[in-house]
Amino acid sequence: MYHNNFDGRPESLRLIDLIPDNNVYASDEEDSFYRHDDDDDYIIHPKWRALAQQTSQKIPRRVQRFSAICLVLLLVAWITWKIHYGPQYAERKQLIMEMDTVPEAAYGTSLRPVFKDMIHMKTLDEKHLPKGDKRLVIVGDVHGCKEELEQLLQEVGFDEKNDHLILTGDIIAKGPDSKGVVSLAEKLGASCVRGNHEDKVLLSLQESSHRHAGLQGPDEDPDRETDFLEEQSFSHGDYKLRKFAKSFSKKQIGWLKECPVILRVGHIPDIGDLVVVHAGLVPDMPLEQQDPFQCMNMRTIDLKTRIPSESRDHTHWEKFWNHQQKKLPKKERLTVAYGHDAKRGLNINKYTFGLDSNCVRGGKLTAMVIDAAGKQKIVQIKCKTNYTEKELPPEDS
Amino acid sequence: MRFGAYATAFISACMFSSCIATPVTNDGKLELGARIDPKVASRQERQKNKYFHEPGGNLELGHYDARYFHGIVSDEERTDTQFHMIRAYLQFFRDQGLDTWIAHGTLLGWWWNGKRLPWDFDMDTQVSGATLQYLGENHNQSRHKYTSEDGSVKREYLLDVNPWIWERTRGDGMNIIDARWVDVRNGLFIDITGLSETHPDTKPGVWSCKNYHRYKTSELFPMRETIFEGVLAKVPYAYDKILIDEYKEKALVVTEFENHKWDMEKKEWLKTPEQIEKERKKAEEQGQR
Repeated sequence: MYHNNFDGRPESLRLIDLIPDNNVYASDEEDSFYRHDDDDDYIIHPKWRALAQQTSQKIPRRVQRFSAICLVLLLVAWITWKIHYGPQYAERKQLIMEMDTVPEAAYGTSLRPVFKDMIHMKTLDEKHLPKGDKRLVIVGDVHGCKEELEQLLQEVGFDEKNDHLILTGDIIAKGPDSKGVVSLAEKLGASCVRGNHEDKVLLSLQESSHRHAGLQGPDEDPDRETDFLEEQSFSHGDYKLRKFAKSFSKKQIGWLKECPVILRVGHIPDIGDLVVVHAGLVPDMPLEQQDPFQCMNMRTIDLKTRIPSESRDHTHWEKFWNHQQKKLPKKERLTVAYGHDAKRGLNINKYTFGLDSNCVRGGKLTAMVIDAAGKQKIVQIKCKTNYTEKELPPEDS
Repeated sequence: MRFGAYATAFISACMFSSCIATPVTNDGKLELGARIDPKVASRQERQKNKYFHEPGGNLELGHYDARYFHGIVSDEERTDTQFHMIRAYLQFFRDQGLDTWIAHGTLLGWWWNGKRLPWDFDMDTQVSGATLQYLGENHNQSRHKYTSEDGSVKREYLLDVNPWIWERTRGDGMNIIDARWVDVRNGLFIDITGLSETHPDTKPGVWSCKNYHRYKTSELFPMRETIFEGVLAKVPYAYDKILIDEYKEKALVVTEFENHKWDMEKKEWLKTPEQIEKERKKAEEQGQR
């Protein structure tokens, strides 16, 4: 019986028969199976390939290896420049540009504020300048570390009758024997500039010397821990400072009061004119004009306005100072010895000598010894311990 | 893009209009002794609580005491008034053994050259909260006679302490000035504000006035003795920092301000020639009328 499939196709017709041409077979033995480098279908033209092969065969292997290494090194150099030295160089260029531009409105034209009982500037007696075997010894922030100071002077071979000692301020507070340091300095006939700690102590005493009407304040018992009044008239919470200030003898206070904010040392061969100040100075501004608060407290200068400040956010004042001195005629250049910035530590530049090496926190105590020829030598001793951990300091920084 | 911007503007305008249409009502009744919430009290109601009054709210009139105001004074008279006023004030506090120090614009003037800023309408001083209480208890409403050093000028001043000094926070903002030193001839005055540690428990060592100027103990004390307008005065320990915090760096560097120019040689703020010319013309016009 002949019957149709369900789709009506005759049974005799197979699916394969529906494919019009069944020649799909490709033999791998035939040449056409393989790809050929025709004239316009290749990666590197055979002519070039041959040429490269020829030249590479002419160059010795050694040289080839060498140039490969060179290439890699060059790449490494390029990358480090891009991510490290390049930005650094740009930053430096920017900084120099900023230091060289005088801002339209710049700090330093106002009249210097005048304060009672504060000596702004003194000039060192000429007899103290280094001559013959006479030396000048400048020591950074002592902070009451009397034993260390004595040890350092011994190390230097300090001769009371011959050498002269200059202290960069902050000889008191934080450390174990502030009074002892003042007495020692006095005994040695040393010179000292007023640091922020001397300033606070002297101001605190000045405040309590005033007559105060019917109010609690500086004249009350400094040992008192709590306040009975809800509000205080005076240095609220500054009992520690007041107690500390009152621990000094009249003679010691008298000696501290004589310390100027700026000490002009005078001319020294090789170095030139030298001044000592506790924290820093603003370049391009006469010494007479320098703001005393800033002289005792500054760390950086904002180049956009040239305003100095205690913060660490701007350009370090000594960097700017050195840059500006180099632009002046040699005669007008000024070198500054200072302390205050223990965090930056010993910091010697051509025109700035930073000598605070954090003795009171277990660092070192530094002396710069200057001889008659103006040769400078750094002498340091290791300090015993971090004194600030043992007892809370009366004041911070 | 543009359509979007218009649409946003329209929608926000619609939303804003509902605020205008619905005024804030003041339902809560004020209890006696309760602190006045600045959001609840209307301007008029707050005005009732104000102790010191000025003849007007603008920059010029706001610097006279209404009780003694007879008209705006000339720049010359203001300069003369303020010069003697601050000298008398500092002398009185010194004589009484009371602590006070110069602040705000007056401190800025001191920083430039130890004098007041010539364009400043009023002068500012500060005292501690304890000194303020003491003034309120012992010297309120006291009058002080003053004779200048050469004897040529005689003046009288009123020390007026605001009865709201018990409140050491801003409150409704109507009594942020704690006391005044008023020249009774023309109503010009020195604003005296007290600083207190308002939060000794949570923020010890932070001193605040009622207008939320804040200072750290270590920025204020120990004070420095200096000279202001020729007499001894006190300024805070870290005066530079206080000035920069309040007025920004530009206040210490800009040499042209309010029609005045800083003379670097004389170290004085001088009126600019343009301003002098302008004032001359104005005076001529008034003379012709």
